[in-house]
Amino acid sequence: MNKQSGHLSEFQIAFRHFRRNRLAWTGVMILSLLYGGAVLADFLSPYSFKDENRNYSYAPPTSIHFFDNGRLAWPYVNGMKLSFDEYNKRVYQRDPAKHYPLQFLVKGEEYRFLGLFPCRRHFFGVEAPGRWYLLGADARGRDMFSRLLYGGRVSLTIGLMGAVIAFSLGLIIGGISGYYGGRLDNFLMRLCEMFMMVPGFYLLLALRAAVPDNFNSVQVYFSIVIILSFIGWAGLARIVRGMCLSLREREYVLAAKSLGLSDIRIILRHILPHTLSYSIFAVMLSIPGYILGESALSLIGLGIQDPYASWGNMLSDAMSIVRIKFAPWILSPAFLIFLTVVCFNVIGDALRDCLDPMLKAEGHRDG
Amino acid sequence: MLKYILKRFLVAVPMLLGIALLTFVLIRMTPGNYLDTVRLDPQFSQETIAYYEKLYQFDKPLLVQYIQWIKNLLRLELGYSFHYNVPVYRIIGSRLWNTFLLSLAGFLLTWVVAIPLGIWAALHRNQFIDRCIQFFSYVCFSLPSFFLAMLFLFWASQSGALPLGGMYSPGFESLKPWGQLTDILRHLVIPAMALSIGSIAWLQRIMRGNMLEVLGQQYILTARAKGLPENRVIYLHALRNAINPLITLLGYEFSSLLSGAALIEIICSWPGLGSLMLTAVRSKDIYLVMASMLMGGVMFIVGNLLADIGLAKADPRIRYE
Amino acid sequence: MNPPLLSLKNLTVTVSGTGREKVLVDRIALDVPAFSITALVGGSGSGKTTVGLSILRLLPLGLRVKEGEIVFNQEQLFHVPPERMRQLRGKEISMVFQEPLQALNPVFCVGYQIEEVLRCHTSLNRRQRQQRILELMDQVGLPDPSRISRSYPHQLSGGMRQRVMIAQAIAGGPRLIIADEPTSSLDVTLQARIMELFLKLKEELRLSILLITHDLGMVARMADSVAVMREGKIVEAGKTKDVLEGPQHPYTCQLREAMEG
Repeated sequence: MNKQSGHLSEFQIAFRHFRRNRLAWTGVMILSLLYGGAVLADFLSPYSFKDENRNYSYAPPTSIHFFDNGRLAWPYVNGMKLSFDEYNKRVYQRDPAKHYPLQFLVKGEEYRFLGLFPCRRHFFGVEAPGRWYLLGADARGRDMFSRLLYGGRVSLTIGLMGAVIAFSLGLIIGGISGYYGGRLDNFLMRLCEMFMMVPGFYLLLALRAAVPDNFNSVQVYFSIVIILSFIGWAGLARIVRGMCLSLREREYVLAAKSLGLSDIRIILRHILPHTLSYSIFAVMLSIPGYILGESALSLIGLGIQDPYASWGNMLSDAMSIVRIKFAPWILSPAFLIFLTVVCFNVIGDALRDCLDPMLKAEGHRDG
Repeated sequence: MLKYILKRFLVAVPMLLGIALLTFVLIRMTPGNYLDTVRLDPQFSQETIAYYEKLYQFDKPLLVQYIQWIKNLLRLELGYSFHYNVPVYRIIGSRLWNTFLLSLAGFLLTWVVAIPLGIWAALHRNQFIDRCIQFFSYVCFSLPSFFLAMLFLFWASQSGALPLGGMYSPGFESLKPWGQLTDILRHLVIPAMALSIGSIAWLQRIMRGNMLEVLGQQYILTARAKGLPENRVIYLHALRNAINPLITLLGYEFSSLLSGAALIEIICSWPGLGSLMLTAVRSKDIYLVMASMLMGGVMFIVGNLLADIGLAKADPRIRYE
Repeated sequence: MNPPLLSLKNLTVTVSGTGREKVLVDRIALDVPAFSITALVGGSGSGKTTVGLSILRLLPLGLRVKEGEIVFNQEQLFHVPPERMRQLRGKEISMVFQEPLQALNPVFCVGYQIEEVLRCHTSLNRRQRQQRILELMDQVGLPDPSRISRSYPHQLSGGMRQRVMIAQAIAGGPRLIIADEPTSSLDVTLQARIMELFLKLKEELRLSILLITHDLGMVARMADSVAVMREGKIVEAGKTKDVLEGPQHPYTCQLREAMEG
């Protein structure tokens, strides 16, 4: 902003403060890894999310071997032999006869890289007919690791999109309400309160019930995004409205009005930018809520449906306690959800810490 | 004081109407006339269908329908559940109570644990135990509650110490009243814990912050300067002020517990409003869905009202405005 | 000559933050005789409030009395156990603070806050305490004591609140009152009245007052002796008349000029 004069803008000061917070940076890195993994899911995962093999239902993580007959060898996996023990429980045994070396850029199922051009190379894997389950297999013999990456696409983006939509809705409605005041304000705030009144999960379920049955998965996906944002906009709108009520009395607003600028322009360019510091931090802290909301919906079967993967619907498998005991790897989506939530919380906290002085400065300018 | 309560009560009424409006709008959003789908089902007699058709007046304009809906609600006519094949009010009552019980248990657990924990953390600020508590709080706060519930159930299955969900053990009826009470309590432990741990972590942090802020206030210095015993300074003067802001959170807490309880109920098979709502949504039992949501909203408003009253009692500055 | 009621010798208070120790009060010596008003004057940051707090051992975290003697009524306070200190506070030595709205607990009515002092330091029963509260409120000039004692701090005016603070301070029957800028937050007319109240109480109750202030005018009207503080040191001390009429230290001269201007 004013680098020449030697003064740093408030954003720059805040950003510097943020940079020093190592915990927050770790959070940012982990999130980048997760989102990166989601974007590159086709490439990074050895198998497609749909790739089933009922012979290997609940197969444990395949052990990678580095030694062959006592000698150091290129990492490889063996085949698996399925047998049943006396309780009719599945037991997988190593079949040393079959030897599949781990390969990079292995040829696998076809996909579209970044949705653009077709490609057959996957980052790592084993050649067919070998199966390599890095983190084990689910009920239908699908690779957990691959599904986690694909699931990340759904879970991480639904959360983000829901938050962005709720953020925009909240900002606009709060801005209009705070700026115009009067009966419009009253009406909008009553609307807000109504939405805030119904406990979130109930509203979620009820809205989901209103979605027609015959929607395909893409439409369901977007319906869920919209439903999630319906729940979250009210809280932000109220606070933004409060801020706008005081902001509209400031001199530059009066100046803008006297210049004949349209109301919308004033709201968008002169008032709302000052609410950004609070809004961004509020959004950051609300994203975990959206991710958890989608996970909860999918967990109980009302979200993303099979065969599409989402961390939530992968966990619905884990609702049976017996299965957790014999196949604990099906809980891995929960750890990823937890990790994501922690990262967002940490970043949100760090943002609050460095935006606090900014907010205080905003307050002092009132004089 | 009474005037204040009355005022809050009056505010609650339009809010209730608002929730009714919301549910009504949602009902109308589902395409088609709902009764058409069940008309063909041989389970339901023509009389029942005709009765409800007349009750809801689908052929009249929307405003009339809405007024009729409100009138029905006031008569506690909540519609018919086609999934369970009984009028809604028959099922909702007990489920409502169960959810309330679970929410109450979670609520009590949260406050009984979080407040002392927060005070203790504040008094031992930045020492090792405080840092431990803060770290664990952070972790617990970020764990999805359904995950916690699953872990608890898993542990229960391994150790056999607690029942694996549901609300009653088989053979409940044959137990003596005391036995029945302990049975329900044993079933309540896991859902209540899963429900409250996140809240405990969050509330403890706030309590600690409040306590630290209050302890830095001038009136605490005065209290010490008066020669009051340290216990009195902390547990009377400081605590009373630190807790006040939390009372405004009571209403919010209760609502978030209600909402969270729904998911926990489903996972732990606790027969409450949440699991009822899930069944209703899955079977597209519209009136049941609407009634559940309405009840959820009502409980929220009642919770808020109670919290407002509690706040007025605790903070004289509000009372004498 | 009687020994002074309160005697500070070589008092040093430091604050430790970011490693180094900074000296806030530097080896000051101060005497407060019995039945007199001694003023401690200085600008903000001079350390005068710190002196007041250190007498009662109420220093905030990070500050500590590094060395020195605090002798009250021939008792060495520096090494006294905390329980003894607590007994002294409110009963033998009490303190009046600057901003009564902050200094009074907002959630308790003022009568209760005065009663606390009686409850902890005297053995009066409930009825006697109630009686005593009414007497105290009368003594500090509060009208309609029964209504006021049931009021909350935010319901009273600034002047009344300060009187409540003073009632609290004299409830235990102290020998010494430390008054830290007791009138700075009040308007001018109220200031005069509160000053009169202090003088009246000093006579009636045979008190000593350590008056901490930046207002030389007040010092001139009330104090018997004065000590001038600057940046943690006492630069001049003596009888009020002498110091104000013939100031020796340049800083005292500055203060006097500011007062007249």
